[in-house]
Amino acid sequence: MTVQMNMQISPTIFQSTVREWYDALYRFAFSLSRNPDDAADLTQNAFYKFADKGGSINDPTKIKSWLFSVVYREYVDQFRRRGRYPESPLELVPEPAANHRPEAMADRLDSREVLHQLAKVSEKYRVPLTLFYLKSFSYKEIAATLEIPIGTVMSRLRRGKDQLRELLENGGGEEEQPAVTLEFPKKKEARNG
Amino acid sequence: MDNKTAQDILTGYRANGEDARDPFFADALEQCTRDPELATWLERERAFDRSVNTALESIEVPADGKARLLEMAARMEKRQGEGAASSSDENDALIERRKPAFWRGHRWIRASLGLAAACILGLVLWQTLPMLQQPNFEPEKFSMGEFISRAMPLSYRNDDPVNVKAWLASRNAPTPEAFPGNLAEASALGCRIFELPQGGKISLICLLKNGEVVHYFVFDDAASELLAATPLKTWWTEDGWHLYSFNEGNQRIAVATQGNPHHIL
Repeated sequence: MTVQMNMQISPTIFQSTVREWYDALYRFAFSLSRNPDDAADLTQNAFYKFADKGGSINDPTKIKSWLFSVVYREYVDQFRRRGRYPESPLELVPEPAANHRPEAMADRLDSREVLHQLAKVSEKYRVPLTLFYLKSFSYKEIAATLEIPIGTVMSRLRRGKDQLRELLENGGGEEEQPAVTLEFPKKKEARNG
Repeated sequence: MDNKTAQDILTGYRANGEDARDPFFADALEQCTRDPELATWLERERAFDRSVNTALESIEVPADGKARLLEMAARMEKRQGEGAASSSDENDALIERRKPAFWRGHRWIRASLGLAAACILGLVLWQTLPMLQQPNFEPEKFSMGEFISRAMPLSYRNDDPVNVKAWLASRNAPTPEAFPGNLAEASALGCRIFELPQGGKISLICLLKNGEVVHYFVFDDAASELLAATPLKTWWTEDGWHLYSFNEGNQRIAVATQGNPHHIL
């Protein structure tokens, strides 16, 4: 039987959106969940919601923030249901793609090591940091996606980078960062899609 | 502005240069041109940003998820195309506004396309006709595989399982207590009620979990005899469907999926 997707938007728009954002969205979901299966579920869920409710997005430039926001909120909702942080075995951090060729500074910083240490950065800083690096979210887009003030975005980026840099310089050990309190977006706004 | 403040601001400056014209960064960037130490710091910061960006972009993305979404959208597009070809007068009026100039006045083009659309519609109807037939509810001939193949279309569509259950309850149809396992977090597609000629009702609730459709059948007491010969609390396969059945009070539940059953319960 064919899966019935509640497609309220043009399939053409849906397809172009999937092509443009699927990879980045998956990588963001992976950086949150640190688990390939959860990342795939979070990503798929975001596109199902987009198919159903994406028609309400009047400004196409907002699609990017909307999708990432859905993934983030779904992740937070799951976290709320589980009442704990997800298991985060660092072995799950994947090997970089074989054909991926780092350049400049990346020659010195091993990609796997960066991912390994990024996974240890406190959740609060890791989320805006990942958005900043993935598809180059601007500080305004990060603020809109996470619904936090611009000043908070800037300070979290700064602290997140400092934490990551320190972990990369010192090796960071194998211990996980202690859990920090994750801010839950308001439920009302969480349903605005 | 001191260098510390400039650094705080420039932390959000993207390495790809997209923020070069953003006034938010203007003063801090201006300060870089005057202060070589700050300029060196910014260059190091951007190099660091590029290396982290490179690392994140190196996360391999499984291709199957994207492919499945694209495939579903393509199917949907095809269906919409078929739907448009057989649309009502009202829809025709809507389409009229979108017609290109060359279209108007060329009756033979419209006639040819109309004929083609009619052929496609006929083909679709011919293929879907068996689904529109009523399932066979005679106890000795009943099979879940055949039942599922004729279970569509849904009578009520809603993505909230609570609303679907309420709709069923308001029609005195058998309603599940709570969805077990991972289905507790599934969204709904809709539902349908089957009334058996010999008495008894079956509710079908279509759920969506991890992109897979799951049929959740609730047989009331009278209808439960149809499943008398089927296994209880163990998965079995029938006509390509993975099936699982259990009792819930005086109701019998049957779960059917074509996906991985271990992701369901």
